[in-house]
Amino acid sequence: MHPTKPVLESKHVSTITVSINDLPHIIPETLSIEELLLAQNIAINSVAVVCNSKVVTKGLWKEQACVEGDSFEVFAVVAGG
Amino acid sequence: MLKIAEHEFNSRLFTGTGKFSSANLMLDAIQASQSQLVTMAMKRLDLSSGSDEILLPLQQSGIKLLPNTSGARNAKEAVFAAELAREVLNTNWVKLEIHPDPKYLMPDPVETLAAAKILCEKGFVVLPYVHADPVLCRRLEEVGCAAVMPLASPIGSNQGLATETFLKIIIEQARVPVVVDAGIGTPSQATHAMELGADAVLVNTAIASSQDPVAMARCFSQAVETGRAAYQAGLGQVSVRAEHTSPLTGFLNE
Repeated sequence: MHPTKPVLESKHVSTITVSINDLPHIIPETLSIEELLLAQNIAINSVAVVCNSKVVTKGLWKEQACVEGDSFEVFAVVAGG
Repeated sequence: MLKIAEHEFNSRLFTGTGKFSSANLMLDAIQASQSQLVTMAMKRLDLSSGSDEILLPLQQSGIKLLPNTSGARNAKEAVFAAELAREVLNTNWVKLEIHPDPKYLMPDPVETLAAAKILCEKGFVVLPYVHADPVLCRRLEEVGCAAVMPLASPIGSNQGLATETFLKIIIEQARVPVVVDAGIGTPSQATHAMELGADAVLVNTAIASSQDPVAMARCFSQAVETGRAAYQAGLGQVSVRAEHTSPLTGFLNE
């Protein structure tokens, strides 16, 4: 009866594992970088994204898809002197 | 009017945004300071606490934002931080600061010069935070920095113009604006820096850590204006001997 539900989900959505600021996240494999940020409730206008040690410019966030093993670093502007 | 890289500023007081007890207090203090340029820092986002809410109101205020590279320990990290800041803030301006020493936060001159050269070549408007070293300031100017920011005393120390002798030389020699940064603890010290001929001063801790930051910001604004006006009016000569201000002859003896 009930045990079939997770099996069905796994058939429909393949997942990948990426890290964001050193923490692992399991996400659907079709996510773009922008979708990844929005899914994490990150204010996309106030951050910079680094993927595998390279800065990803904002113009590429919509088109660049997350790939298994990607290591993202997200930086934000904060108060400072 | 102060001009840095073709950008004009009515106010010669720059302020930092750090150390305020709340975002609203910081915004009110900046408004009271009449600053048209404020510094900000970059940090790895803490996903659990979310992003800082100070950016949007600052952007809406129209004040120019100057991201710094604080946290960078060498030229490579500073260049990386500048590129990140450019992405977020859509600005090519950067306050270059590299201070690997956590105790005194002394800026590393070798790494700073190396980073300045790279960033200038990449088209950044570079304002380097440095020790009050006249030779280094000239070298930074030669590689294309838009201004130099020599320190008055250690960051956040409120010790005032400990480097006065060297600031005077830097001001005399510089062909780019000189912004005296770090350590200015009182409005009178800001006035003094401006009287020496500094083009601007940057103040953060002295305002943010005062009991009434909004009132203190206003005091610094007035102090900077007074110091600049005094510099422009031309200060009198300092003399070892007395110079009489009243006639000394004729009254009693004749």
